[in-house]
Amino acid sequence: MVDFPPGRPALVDDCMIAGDRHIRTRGSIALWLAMAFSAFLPAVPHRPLEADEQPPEAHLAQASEPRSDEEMAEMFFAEGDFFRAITEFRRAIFGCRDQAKIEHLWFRIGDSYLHAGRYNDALKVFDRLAREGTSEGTRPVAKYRLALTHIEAGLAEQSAKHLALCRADPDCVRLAGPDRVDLADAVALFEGRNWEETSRKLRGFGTRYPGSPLTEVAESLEKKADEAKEAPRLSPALAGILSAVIPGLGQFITGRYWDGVQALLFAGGLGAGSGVLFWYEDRSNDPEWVVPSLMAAVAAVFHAANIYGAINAARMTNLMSDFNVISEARTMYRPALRLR
Amino acid sequence: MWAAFEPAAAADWWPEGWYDRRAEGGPGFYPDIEKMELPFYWDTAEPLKVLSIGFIRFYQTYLSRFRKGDCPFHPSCSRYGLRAIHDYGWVWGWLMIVDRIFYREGGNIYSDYPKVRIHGEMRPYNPPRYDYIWADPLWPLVVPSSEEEW
Repeated sequence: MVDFPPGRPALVDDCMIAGDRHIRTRGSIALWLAMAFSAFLPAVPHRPLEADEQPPEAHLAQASEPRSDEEMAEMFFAEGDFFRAITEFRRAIFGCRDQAKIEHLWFRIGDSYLHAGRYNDALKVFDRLAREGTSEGTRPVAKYRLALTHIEAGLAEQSAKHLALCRADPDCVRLAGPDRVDLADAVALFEGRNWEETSRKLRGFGTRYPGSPLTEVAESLEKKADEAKEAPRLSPALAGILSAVIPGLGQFITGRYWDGVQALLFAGGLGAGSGVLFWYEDRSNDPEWVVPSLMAAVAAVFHAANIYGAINAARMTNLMSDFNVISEARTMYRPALRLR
Repeated sequence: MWAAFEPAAAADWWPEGWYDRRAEGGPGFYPDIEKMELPFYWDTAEPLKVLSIGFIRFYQTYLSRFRKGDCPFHPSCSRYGLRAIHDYGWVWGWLMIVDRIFYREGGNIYSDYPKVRIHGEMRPYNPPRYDYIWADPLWPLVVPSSEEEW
């Protein structure tokens, strides 16, 4: 039995430690009564249900329905819970003896990794299916998926190689669609920031594939590539030179005004201060060079960092402008490419 | 002396199974490289690098608790500094650190950098490999896809 200090025990923790004493405290009696009473209360919702809304217990009824592992996995996939879907697909593979079915389930695992952004795992799955798959319905599409995974991972150069392999397989082109493979080629160029090549590839898409549902996507992508080609670019070299001449000027032209002011204050101020100190010490009878030298060294570091920062700011501005263009376009072409 | 200007070889950082971007057919993206623990750098041929890393580790261990830690970026400035000095040497590393600490408050950092969700809040993602101006910016700008990876 635990000896606790004199005084009234607290409501919960000390009641549990006190052993046989917990029943005799007023707070714990009230707690037990409340718990006992609440067991008999119905599950009352906090607000009226909407027209198409199910009562809170409905999910319990749904979960109790018998489902196969594959159906459960497809349900998780549809909800966006890709890692649970992968677990259920693996469970379905464990109990399956049909080779074609197993390859299909592995294909769905690869799809789940792709949608979840785990590109390395998706590449392994699709690569193995493309090389060792025996099912006619899965292997050609795995080749297309392999190229698509390279595109989504941003590996434009490698995706071009896999798209060429896909194009060489007539089953792959038939199942994925020649318009989709062409669009994937253009997307690979777009992701690699080859705006000119992207426009050239997509020119005449509508006439090459009349009636294709991807024509609208292709035209939008061509327009985005033209806009990206015309977008203004900052010169990192110019920003660096300007910052070398006047600290902070390079940051000004990249739009980072407060950074430019700080560079002027730190680098320019310290440099000017050290210059004044050097001038003052030069005129004194007993010059001391330590403090001015240290100040000049710190000012030099700040000035070098200011030049480096100006170059980097211009470079990052250009990169981010490309990154934003590509990020916006991804919401448009990724669903179109993933359909097959 | 010139060794200080040369970046460290990145190949020994990577866990087994990852591909080299420059190797044939490699995927070349490293979404979780920033969360790798840095090995203890003990190379007496570059004492300034050891001292720099030691200074930053001392700050992280003993001094950072006195500061409220309001760095908006991810990774934090001290972690950025460790990585920058280890990967790119103490010269470029310190330039990058000074630039990061003093010259990043202007502009709109939430539009100038890609964002990543860390513990429920969106933060600008700025690892040292984005800022090393002498190397390929490692296009595409790989950003960790989910908070679970951290």
